[in-house]
Amino acid sequence: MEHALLLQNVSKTYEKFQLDNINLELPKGCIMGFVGENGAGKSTTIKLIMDLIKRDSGEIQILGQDNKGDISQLKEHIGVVMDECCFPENMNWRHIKQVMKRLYKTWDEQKFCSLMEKFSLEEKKIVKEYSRGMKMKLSIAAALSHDSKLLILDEATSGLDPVVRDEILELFLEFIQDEEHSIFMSTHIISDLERISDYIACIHKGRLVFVEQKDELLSKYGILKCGEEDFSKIDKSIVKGVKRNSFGIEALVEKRKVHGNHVIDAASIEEIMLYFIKESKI
Amino acid sequence: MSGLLLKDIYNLRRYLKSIIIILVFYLVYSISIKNINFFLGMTFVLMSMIPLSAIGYDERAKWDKYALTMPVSRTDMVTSKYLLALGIGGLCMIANVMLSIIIQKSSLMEAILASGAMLFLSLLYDCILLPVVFKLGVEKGRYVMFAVLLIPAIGVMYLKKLPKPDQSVIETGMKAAPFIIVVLFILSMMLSVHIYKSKELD
Repeated sequence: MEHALLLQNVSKTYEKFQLDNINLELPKGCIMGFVGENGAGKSTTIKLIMDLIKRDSGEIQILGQDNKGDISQLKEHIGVVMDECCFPENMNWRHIKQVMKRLYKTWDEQKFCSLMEKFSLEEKKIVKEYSRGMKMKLSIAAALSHDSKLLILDEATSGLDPVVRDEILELFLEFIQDEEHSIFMSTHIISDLERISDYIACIHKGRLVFVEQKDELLSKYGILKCGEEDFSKIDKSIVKGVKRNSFGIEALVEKRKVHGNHVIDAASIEEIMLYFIKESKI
Repeated sequence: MSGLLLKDIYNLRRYLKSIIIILVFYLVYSISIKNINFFLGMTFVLMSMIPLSAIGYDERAKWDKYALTMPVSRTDMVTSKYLLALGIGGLCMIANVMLSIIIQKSSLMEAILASGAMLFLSLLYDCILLPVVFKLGVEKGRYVMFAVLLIPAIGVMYLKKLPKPDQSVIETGMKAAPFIIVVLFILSMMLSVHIYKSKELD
């Protein structure tokens, strides 16, 4: 299977934070959601992928090519949306179009203009006067208006109202119709991932907690509800997190490995993530 | 590269407009006192600040980390700012030579020498400051900027006490100046590229 993105044993150490041994594989044609709390290491990982910061160790490949050295040609095929709009404040989208045309050999002016029209962005309004939503739309349009085969999105849909978010998710789904295209997106909005992603990777305090296919994740885990006595009989290696309350115990478990007659509810992606990173272990 | 330069011109156009308005004011003043040298000096002081302002705007927008996700190399990012300095310097030089000839009735040689000396100083200022700004950022670079401005001011005070240099020394200096600035410009650019290549864009 060909990879759109491959990270092997990638580490980066700061004074107060460490990104520890990250391993990720995003197959071509798929969408991977990258979730975790603020400060868990999502943006650091994305900056390492784009070589904006130097990795201490490990390997990173984008579309089968190492991300170090002269990768100008490779960057024609990567569309990046940062967690903020990075276009200088005094430019309007007509200026941006002229600049991008000179930066990308594969720039598709017609597509950019039609997206601007679709998003109802005024031609002469400067970036400084844009709302957060407008800024994100502009960045997303720029990422989609050249020969992108891989989209790397850092909180691209946050700050957008549900209607616009829906429109943008549709665009992503349209983009992914080409089986050569892939998306790696970090987000806090789990419902977006439930809708469009194929894989979910969860990071916590600089370590990957899980990377799994979304459907596999949903079918693998469930929430076991029982009393202390029943819980004590459960094999603890299949328990991923426990929440104790006055009614008893709720635990995220690998449901296929639970024997006996127990109540096991379906777990949502959000619940799975929370149990993995928040609730106490056993 | 042309895209990066165009981006600076679009983004700085309001700032450039306000600089031009200030310069027109100084030009009128210079004409009224019949001495254009004051205007020449101001042109190059304001001009040498443009690349730094461009970097300041980029920093505020966090443009660099975004631009580097595009087909743009770190070397392109640095050289585009040096080209901006050179381009604006060249334009100022041409405009000032013309104004000196028209308003001050200077000879072509006099006009080139006066504007050339100013261009030398303003490019020298950029050559010193740009590597510092690429290393420390505009905010911290500002302190160095004031220090760099202070050194010639103190220097002039001491120079006054020295005997006037020989005419031949001045002439040799004038002939060597273009070569000196070309070498310094290239060295400064190489140093900035080296600094920027190892920079972490957080």
